[in-house]
Amino acid sequence: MVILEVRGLTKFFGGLQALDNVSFKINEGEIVGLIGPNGAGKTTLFNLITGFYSPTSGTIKFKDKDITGLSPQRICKMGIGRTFQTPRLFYSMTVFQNVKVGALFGGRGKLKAGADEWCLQILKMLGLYDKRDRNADKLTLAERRRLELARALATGPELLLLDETMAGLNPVETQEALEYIKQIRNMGITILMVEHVMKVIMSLSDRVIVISYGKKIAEGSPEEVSNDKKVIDAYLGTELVA
Amino acid sequence: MICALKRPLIYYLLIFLCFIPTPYLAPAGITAFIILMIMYMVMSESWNLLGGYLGDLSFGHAVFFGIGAYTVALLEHYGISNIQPFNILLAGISSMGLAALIGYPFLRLKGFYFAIGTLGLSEIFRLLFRNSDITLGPKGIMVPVPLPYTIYPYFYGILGIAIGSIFIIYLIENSKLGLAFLSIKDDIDAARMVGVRTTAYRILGFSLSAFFVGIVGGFFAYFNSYVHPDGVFSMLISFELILMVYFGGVGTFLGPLLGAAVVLFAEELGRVLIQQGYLLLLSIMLILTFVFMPSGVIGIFTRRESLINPFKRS
Repeated sequence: MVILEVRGLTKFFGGLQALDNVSFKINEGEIVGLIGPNGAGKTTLFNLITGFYSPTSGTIKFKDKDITGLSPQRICKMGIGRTFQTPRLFYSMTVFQNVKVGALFGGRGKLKAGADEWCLQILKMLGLYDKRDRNADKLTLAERRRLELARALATGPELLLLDETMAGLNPVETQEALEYIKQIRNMGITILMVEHVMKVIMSLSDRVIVISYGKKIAEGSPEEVSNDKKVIDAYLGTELVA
Repeated sequence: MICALKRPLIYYLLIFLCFIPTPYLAPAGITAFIILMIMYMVMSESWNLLGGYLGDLSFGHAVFFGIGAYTVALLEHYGISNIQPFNILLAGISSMGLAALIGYPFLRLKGFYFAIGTLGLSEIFRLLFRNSDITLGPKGIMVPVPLPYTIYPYFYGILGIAIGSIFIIYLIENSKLGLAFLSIKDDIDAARMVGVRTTAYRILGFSLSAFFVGIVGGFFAYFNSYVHPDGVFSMLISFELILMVYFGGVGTFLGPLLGAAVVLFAEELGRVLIQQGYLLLLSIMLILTFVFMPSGVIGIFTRRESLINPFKRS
């Protein structure tokens, strides 16, 4: 079943076209990788899906409902969670409070009632339980990224958008993060992730979507995509033919 | 941060209970000073609810003080109502109404733009009230004093207001609402992304803050028995509140109370010693606070960084 359907999405910033007629579908339970060179429009795409920008044209459908142009808070309540490229936590709060904000304001009915219990459960799952009373600004980068993940999970999302969760992590931390993402998938949450670490994309994704200069240039299994001529050209440049 | 503030509310209320015997022990002059101090405690605590918890710095909180004071003055002057507690409550409600009304367009502004906007607002209202016939313009309005005059009802009136409003502010700051406010201050986009209805909460915070300042303004109209547009809409009041909150410690619960006491005392002392020069003293205090202790006196004791760094660009 299709959980997210993006059709003909176009976004202009003034005269600059950030996204050009991008369409794709994401099925329930999938992990989909979104890759592309810097400035390709990956984060813009995230901002459009989560309602921070409204598209110049095109539609976004979540679970068959049109969510184009809704506010981020509405979209969150419908079941889309998101992490940011650089962790954007509530730094004057404790770890626990960060997660609790997610559960109290983003969660629907059931989650709100047992918010504390639910938050602790998530913190345990992501290995932050022991640090729950620490201030968010005292965490390491890897922990911050995990806390952001925990906060997004607390809202009870069905679709999670992860923006470069692995950036700046060392190999050991990357491996840990990989395991966490697998756990989240096993909870039945669909994931769309932007990632520059190719190892991660190749080992996790069921499907990969490639965009470059705002256009979708390829889509398919990790193997298919990594052998695609257009993808190689986008990353390495075209060969000069004498 | 909030952990450091989780001390039982009872201690804070005890501070106010200590004031109870004041009018019996102290001469009228001192009692009047304490009344003023308690007024500023409530107002700086309200400013802190908006500035310290929601992160919206208001440079024009005097507008709510003025609206509160004029609400009472006009009700009395036109003989609409002379029930004092009722009028004071209406003063709070009219300030709150103004905040809610201008909240929507105003809260599209953030940071310094919001600050400048509120500054302009209070000046607009000062000029409006100064030039309107309904408000008797620059003549100001006399508010009748019930005879025989004693200071007791004023003192216990403001003490009751303070205990009530500071209790409510404490509850707000330590509830779900406080968590929403903090999340908005820390990162408004991240707050929206986890479902916090940021505009609604900002309007609510702005209105609540205005409500308590309006109440104090209403009380002041009775206490001073005279309301003048240049006095109650004075930019000085707005800046005093900022100085008090930052001196004590922005974003803390005890800070604004402490700041109000110390700053007002310094101000009175300055007035006696160097007359108009006390304004200079306040300015120097403000600058020194920002440079050397941006997280205030409380910040020095708890050794934490400022919740709001005035020099940080956002």
